[in-house]
Amino acid sequence: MNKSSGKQLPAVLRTDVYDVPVGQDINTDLLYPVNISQQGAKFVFPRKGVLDSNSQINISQTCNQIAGDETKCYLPTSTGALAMVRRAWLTIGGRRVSTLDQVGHYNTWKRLHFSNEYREGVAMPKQGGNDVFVGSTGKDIVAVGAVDATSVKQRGFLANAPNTGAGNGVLGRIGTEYSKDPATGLQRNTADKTTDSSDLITSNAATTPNYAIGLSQLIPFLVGVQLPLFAIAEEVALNVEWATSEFGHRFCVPQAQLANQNNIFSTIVENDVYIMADYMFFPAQMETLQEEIMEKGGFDIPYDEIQVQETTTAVLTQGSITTEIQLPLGGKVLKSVVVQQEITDGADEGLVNVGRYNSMALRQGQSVNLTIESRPFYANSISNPSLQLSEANAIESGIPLQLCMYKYSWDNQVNAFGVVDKAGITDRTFNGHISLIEMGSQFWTGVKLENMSGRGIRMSNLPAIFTRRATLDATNPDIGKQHRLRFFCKTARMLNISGGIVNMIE
Amino acid sequence: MAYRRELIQIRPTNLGNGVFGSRAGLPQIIFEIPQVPKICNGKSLKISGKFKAQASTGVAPNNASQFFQQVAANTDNIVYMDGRTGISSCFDVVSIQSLSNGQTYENIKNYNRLCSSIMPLNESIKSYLNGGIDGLYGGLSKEVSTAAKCDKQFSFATPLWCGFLQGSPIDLNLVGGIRIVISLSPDNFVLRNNKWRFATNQGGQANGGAFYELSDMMLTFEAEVPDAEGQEAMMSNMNGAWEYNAYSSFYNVIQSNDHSAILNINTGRTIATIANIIPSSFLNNYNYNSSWATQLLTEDTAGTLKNRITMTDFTLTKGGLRIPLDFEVDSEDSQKNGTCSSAKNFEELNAIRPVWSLSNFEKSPTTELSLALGNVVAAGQAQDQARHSLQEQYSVCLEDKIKCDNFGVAYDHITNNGLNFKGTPLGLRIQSIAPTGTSMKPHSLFLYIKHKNTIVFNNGLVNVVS
Repeated sequence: MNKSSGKQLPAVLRTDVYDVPVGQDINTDLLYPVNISQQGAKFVFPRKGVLDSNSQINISQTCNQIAGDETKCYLPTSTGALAMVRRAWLTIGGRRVSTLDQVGHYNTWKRLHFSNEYREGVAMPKQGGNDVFVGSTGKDIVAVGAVDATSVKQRGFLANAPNTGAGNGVLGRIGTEYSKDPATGLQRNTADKTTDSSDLITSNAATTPNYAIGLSQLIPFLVGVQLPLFAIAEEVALNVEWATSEFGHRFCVPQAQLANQNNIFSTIVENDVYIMADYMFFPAQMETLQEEIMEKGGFDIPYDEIQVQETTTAVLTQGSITTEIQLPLGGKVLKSVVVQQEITDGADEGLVNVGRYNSMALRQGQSVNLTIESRPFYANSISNPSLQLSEANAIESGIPLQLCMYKYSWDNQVNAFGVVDKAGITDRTFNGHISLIEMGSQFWTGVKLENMSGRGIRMSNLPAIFTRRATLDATNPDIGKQHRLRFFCKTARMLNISGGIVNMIE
Repeated sequence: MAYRRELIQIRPTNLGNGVFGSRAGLPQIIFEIPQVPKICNGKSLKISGKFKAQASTGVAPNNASQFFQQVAANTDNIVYMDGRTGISSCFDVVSIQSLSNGQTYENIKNYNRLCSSIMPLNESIKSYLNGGIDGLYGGLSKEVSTAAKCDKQFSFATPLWCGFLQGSPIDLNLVGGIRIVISLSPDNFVLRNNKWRFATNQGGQANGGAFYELSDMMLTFEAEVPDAEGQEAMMSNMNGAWEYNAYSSFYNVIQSNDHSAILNINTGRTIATIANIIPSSFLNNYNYNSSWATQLLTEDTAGTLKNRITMTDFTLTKGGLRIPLDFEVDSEDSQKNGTCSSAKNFEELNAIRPVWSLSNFEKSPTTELSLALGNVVAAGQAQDQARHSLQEQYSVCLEDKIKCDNFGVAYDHITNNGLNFKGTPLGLRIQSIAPTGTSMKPHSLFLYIKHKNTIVFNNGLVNVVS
């Protein structure tokens, strides 16, 4: 039987601020995979030092040319480079310690919590994507001869048809006002914004962009934990499985290439896949740590595991609909449930610009609830989209989702029958695709179950039941659509490192 | 003791037909949170519902297509709310009382004006536009974007910025349950037309004026529910003391170039003072935004209060002594040069949140230098010309060129125990120089004192000590 030592990780093995100054050395190595293919890669860490969980994995892909021309494909806008990875898992001694399925989808949820400043300054240069919206106005440019005081104030764009997203006060990506004219290289007023050339995926491994992903983005176990590699006798390996090589999964296709989208495939640049691993050494403490781990009871490491479950729902029909999904989580300590409502179609490519990494709201709204132990968590199912947003915000330690309401739901944008009559997002285009497609495309809901001290609920054999209710009028464009409901259930786990061996306790 | 998270949902006690607002005949919303053995996380408390603006003609506004048009097709349909405070501008008075004995824990008059000061000190333009703020607070900061949102009904779930709720978790059993009474602001406080941009656009006033309605109202908060043993222990506890922060509000009218106010605030542990100014004629007036925090203004050539009066000094005293700043906050040179007044801005930003932890706020040279200078000529500028004029081209990613001005000072960010103002009144002096040939119009000064209170519970009796 596996036993807990009752000892929590010392400060140097956590990512917290140290209680006292600690002398340390850092050694950075490039760690190449022990094997790699177009299906995945495996890295084995050397038994040295303490692995910094913020070590980065370098990754890049190419897309084939069509008729001798570059296709100018780009990364899904709210996911970035994480879209290249489907699954990642950490093994110690051959046993899976932590797994993250649907890496791209889960990290879209996580990225939506990055502040706009962080996204612009760190995430976009490091991991690609483009999902910061600012104020904007309509699409059609006023002819030079017709420029007047009104059009000048509107930045030269016509703005008189709110239901098409061309009204005043709509939101859009920065740069659509003054993007670069590809012919002249000069700035100009244009309705289209293209991905910066440095972020366009090319067919050449030497010119295609490289990106860096933090290990803790791939492996939830590493969030807050610095792994003491020196004290683990068994093999510690990181395994990565790539996402499907098609459009919508790893990359998005510009409007000009839509006709060729089924002929464009991505190839992972195998020579560019490596980990920039930071190993930390604490000269004054290594001996004590080693003694504690190798000769005494070792340390307990509590961590969160993300269990993913997905179900494709029935095609939406007119009238009242009720969708109930069972989440079997018997015996686990459940801390939160995040619900993604991905739109699906025959080609399974999701939305242009966003790819499969969407969570599409229903136009006439919906109510949500989660039944645990036969008791609904909410006395009244929550139907107010702002309250749904507020509840989703509670999950990530109160860090709110950073996106405009127009992307979160259709609220304020549709009439009583679900038809758009005042779009909140501009009709200007991004890589040729109209931005209106992103209305209501990031409707992530969820329920936080953990209490103020971070303790979840121990589940019995009764499954949790997620319930979605909605009513669709005959003219609602959602009719005929289908969703894949994906649940990210955060559960509490614990392992113990002692005697050089890692044992799962919880 | 094991705790479980719960989301408590409470409908208004005075629900009526579910629609609140002056025109609906229900200008007050009352929520009653029962006395139960649960811990309320006040920071998570949200007032949720739906907001609908109605033009004076009783139809939905039409801002999205006509906002920038000098002669709009129907100026009566150009009405919208303040973008920086959003739904909070609808809440005039917020009162928090004990449900069991009626004792008042906090009563904030002119809550909407308090929000004019503290909300722009909490969020940046980026969080307003793409940070989920519009989904919760209802405002997008930028006037044109907020105006477009007001064209249709929208949802909100806004927190209450009361010190009582924003402090430590609340033992609902010990405080005897909570009654929250929200008195709604007048329609012409919340809604305004576009006169500030175009002098001819003075709609929204016919037929009794444009109005707003709040519906589907609900109060929600996160509660920690102990197990049976813990609940029993909570219920048996009748004694204790609990500290919280509270805002007290004061009102003053500025009518001279050298304005002094002496206020007997009588608070024992005073943490901060924050104040804002607006021309009195802007309040409850469809032609102006009643939520703006401008500086002292004088008339431009068209007779509109648009030019700023040069601020020279700002002084705070305690019992006649300059405390906590032993100097006058001097803005004279910066105002004359048309540059930002750094010392004043620093004190103001530092008033509510420690400036060293401040990362997001709605204040920049474009907001600070947005008012025309009157007959003062700034370096390199033509007479009357503001460095950042509202009349210029619309900016897509910067703050609206509208002043965001406060007077404030923090008394104690170190121990958070504050200064004792009992028996020693707070003094405030604002000195300014009105341009030659202009007169000082009345300006309203809204002043808020953030202070610490203690509630003492003694066998069911509740006593609030400030």
